[in-house]
Amino acid sequence: MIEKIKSNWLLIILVLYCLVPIVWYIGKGDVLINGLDTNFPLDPVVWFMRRLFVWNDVASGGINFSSSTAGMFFHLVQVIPFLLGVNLQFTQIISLIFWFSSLVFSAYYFSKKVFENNKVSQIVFVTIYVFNVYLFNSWENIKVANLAVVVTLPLFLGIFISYIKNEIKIHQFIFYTAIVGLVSSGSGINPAYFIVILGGIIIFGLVQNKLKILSLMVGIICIVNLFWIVPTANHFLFSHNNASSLSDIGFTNWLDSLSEHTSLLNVIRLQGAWDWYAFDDSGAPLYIPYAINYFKRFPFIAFSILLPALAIFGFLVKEEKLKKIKIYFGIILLLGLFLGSGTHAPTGVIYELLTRKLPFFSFFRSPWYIFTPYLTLSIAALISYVFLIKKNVIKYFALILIIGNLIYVYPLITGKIYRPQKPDSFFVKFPGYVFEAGNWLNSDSDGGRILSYPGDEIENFKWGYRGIESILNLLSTRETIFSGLNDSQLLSSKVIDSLYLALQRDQIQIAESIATKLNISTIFVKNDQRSLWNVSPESLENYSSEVFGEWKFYQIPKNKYLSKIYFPTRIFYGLPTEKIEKMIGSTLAKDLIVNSNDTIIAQIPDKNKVIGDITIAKNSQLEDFEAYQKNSQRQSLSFTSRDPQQVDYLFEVVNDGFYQPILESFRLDNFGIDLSKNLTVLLDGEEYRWKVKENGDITSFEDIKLSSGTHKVTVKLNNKNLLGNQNNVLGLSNREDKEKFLSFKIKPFTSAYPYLIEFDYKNIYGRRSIFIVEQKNDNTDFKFQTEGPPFSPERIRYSFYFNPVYVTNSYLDIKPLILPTNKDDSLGTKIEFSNLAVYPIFTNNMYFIKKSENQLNTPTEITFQKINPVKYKGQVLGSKGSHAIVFSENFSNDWNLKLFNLEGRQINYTPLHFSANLYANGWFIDDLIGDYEFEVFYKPQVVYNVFLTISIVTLILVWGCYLWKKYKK
Amino acid sequence: MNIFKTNFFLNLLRKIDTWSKKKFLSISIFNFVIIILFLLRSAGYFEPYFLISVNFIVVVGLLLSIILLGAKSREIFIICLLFWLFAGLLRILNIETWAERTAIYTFEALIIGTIFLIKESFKKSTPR
Repeated sequence: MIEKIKSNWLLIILVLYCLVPIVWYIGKGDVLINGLDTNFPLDPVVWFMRRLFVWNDVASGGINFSSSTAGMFFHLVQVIPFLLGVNLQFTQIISLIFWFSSLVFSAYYFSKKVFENNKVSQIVFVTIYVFNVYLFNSWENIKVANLAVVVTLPLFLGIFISYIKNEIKIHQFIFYTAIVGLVSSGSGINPAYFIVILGGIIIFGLVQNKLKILSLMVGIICIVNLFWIVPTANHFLFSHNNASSLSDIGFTNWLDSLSEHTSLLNVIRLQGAWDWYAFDDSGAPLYIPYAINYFKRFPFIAFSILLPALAIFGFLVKEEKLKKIKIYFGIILLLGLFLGSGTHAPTGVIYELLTRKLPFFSFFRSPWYIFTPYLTLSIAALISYVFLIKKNVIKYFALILIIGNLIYVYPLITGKIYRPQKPDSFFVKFPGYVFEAGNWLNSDSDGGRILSYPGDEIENFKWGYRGIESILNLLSTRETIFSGLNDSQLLSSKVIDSLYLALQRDQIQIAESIATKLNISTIFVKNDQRSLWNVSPESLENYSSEVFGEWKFYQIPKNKYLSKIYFPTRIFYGLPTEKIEKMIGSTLAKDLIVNSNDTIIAQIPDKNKVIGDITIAKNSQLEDFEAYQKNSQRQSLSFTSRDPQQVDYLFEVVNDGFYQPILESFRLDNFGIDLSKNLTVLLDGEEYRWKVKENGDITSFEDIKLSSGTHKVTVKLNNKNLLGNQNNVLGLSNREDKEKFLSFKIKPFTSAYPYLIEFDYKNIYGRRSIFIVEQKNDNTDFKFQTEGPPFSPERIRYSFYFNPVYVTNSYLDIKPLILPTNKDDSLGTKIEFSNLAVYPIFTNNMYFIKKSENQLNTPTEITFQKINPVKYKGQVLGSKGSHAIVFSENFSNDWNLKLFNLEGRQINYTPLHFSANLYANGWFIDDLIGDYEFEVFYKPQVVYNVFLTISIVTLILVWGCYLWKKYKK
Repeated sequence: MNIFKTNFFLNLLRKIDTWSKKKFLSISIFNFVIIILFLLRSAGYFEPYFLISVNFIVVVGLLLSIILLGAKSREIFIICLLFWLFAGLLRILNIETWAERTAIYTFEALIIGTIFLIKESFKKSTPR
């Protein structure tokens, strides 16, 4: 037995290494590693199937998904055990063991090729390569792309070496390369990682001067990966919405902030992860609790220095046979250091230059995370060189180093990288109702979208899960609307924000109007989410609902729901175009708002007869507030006189005619506006009484006649000072060494709008005054704002705005404050305040609607079926002439509408394709009478289908060739 | 055992002695240039048009060691290792700024060492 162990010690160690993921779950119970970037699907099949399409329809109106199709193999590893009936936790463990074993195998295979018969060097290489600080982050978030790089790069190099050494034949070389190429596909989720793999191989081939074999290997890898490379390149380069910056493809450019701590000293010690360096006020780590050991404890610091020292020492080891490959390690070590440092000095200048001048280099936005695999590979290899020295003592030193390294990376081995028992732990036990809700959603699809409420960008559930997308996407195929972290590039995001605002304000009619245009049928209220928006709108209680534990799904009544494809009845230009999202809630369900600058719209025949105008007026109070917020030197605006007792609406009318004024009705009574009969306004200086026509969340008035040009509507308000009468002069003096203040509390307080705070003040002597505004409740401080009016010996009025956080329960505490006395000033400070006033800002919008001369034709009926996320087929009955079709999916020029007659022959006509309701697709079909069929299709799917076929056929051919050769032999 | 009287140490001293006699002029020039550079730096010469930084002196020193003293990649990597160990010591002593600067010297030495490694390999593989 002992003999067997002795002869197989290396294999035993490797197997033990492979089983490390099991340790992570010991004593944790029925948990999954999940949350934030770690998206482990609660239904792996749903996630796998999603990767068969280049359009992801589940996320807020849909988004191009080309690069994410690269994750197909990664999710296949999860799907197989899941389909075999294995439970979710075990599925995850199997998936993790698969990737950990692949990493161990990859490292071993490579070390065996480089260090041949030296088992000590081999095990040292495997230990350092598999267990290092860089991989903490990769495993913490189970990053597909990172794992693909670290697993496949050594494998590719190993195959390369094997072929050079004539250990494998050409057919084996091709077959192995293709298989590993498939595993490497996960790196395509962020193509920068794929380039790292190719870069590593190309440098190796050049150093070895084996250009033919290099070309063959790179060629095979690229062919196998064509299924995601071509659609992704097509999206980046040739799509009509082609990407010119990172934000265009959904990425935030955080290059500089990620490079803040990537000094060469940190990078070479593999300690460049940004989240290690975030601390709270007490100096404790904010995210990574164990990081403090690596910063403060001597053994950890010493070991972090020892590893690079050994790697540099590796250069000194004389081993003629391995000299060439040592050059390779030297080059990738330098590259890893230089590129991994990103924009950090001293090499950052060059990196920045490359980012600016080299096309697409800016896509390497997380340099340390992308390029450090070069470092781990070279450091592990160079350290292993040290153990080629033929001395007896070297074995013992290797043993100490291996044990030392395993202790050094204890968070990776023990699973502490997942922060067990911390509030932000990745070990999550999903409550049963999550799965019950998932089953219900998948069985009861009405085709409409589900709006997630509350709309925090990060979902933070009381039971531990945190996600950056809707949790429903983990287990359901239902399309969802949510406020995602990376959604700013989505065309629908502004409309979604408007919807959330309406729901927060309980303006249910406006919310319903926006919801119809977003194809929402269900509102999903998460009562178990930690949020400042903790109360769901009261009006939702009028809807029918389904309850699953803490989750409630409110069904929007059928008569208020609009299907994804529909005919609009009226079309309006939204003016000005940059505020279209604010107008959508003021229109009827089937009204369509288009951009007046849209060149496609300009091609519609008789457009001026079928398109009306919606003009949103400039609200003087809101404009002043927004100008104040945007100004970097706000204090210069604090001495401007402001009148909270009236609001002016400025607007421009393009055409003479009759316009219907509409006023948002939000809390008008707080401003003394009574709309029971009519509204008194000054229109261009003349007094009018506008008769109310309809009253609700928006109030519409009878039409008024306006001539083209600029107009001003003034509405008088009775805006009460929330502090009551404050005419007394408040004299504040302070001769003490601590601050003194007065406190004025506003209770009850509504945080639904911004506030104007004003006061007169006069500095008698001493220091400047400070003015503090706090929004809080008994448990939480929500917002804190400090104002420091300049020293003024004359009485002067000072004003500023305070924009509260939108919460249901809070109060405002306003504190004029005097600072402690300076030591050399025994007289202290004296200041007088008077006429302190706090007014809410009247933010309600006013619109003017001019109907078109002619209404649009609307066919009798439209029916359709969603075939898959990229294809919809339908039928239109009873078309009477020109009409429009709206498809409520995020706009892309790649969406194509084809028309067919009822016999199935394509009608040779290309409808005008334009952007509808700010985000959706609209088509104008000119003069088509009768019944017809249609198909909506996302064109890049064809590219994907073709190249997926090529990739699969290549794999089959290579496999077949391999088997044939083997069989023949 | 007195380490300074071991064969290894005595041999090493002898080798250094022979080498330094052979390279006397080069070592003198090397030292002279380094000293001059430090003197110019302390006097603030060429500022603000050109700053003679410690970093600059280190790079010049590394390059001169190749030109004048005949250093090869191996010697450069030894210097690199020394720099790194010194950087580590400074890090342990919490002298972060200097540790980072010394890590930069390590990186520079690493670049020069690797370039020489490539050059040496190229020389060997080129048939005469």
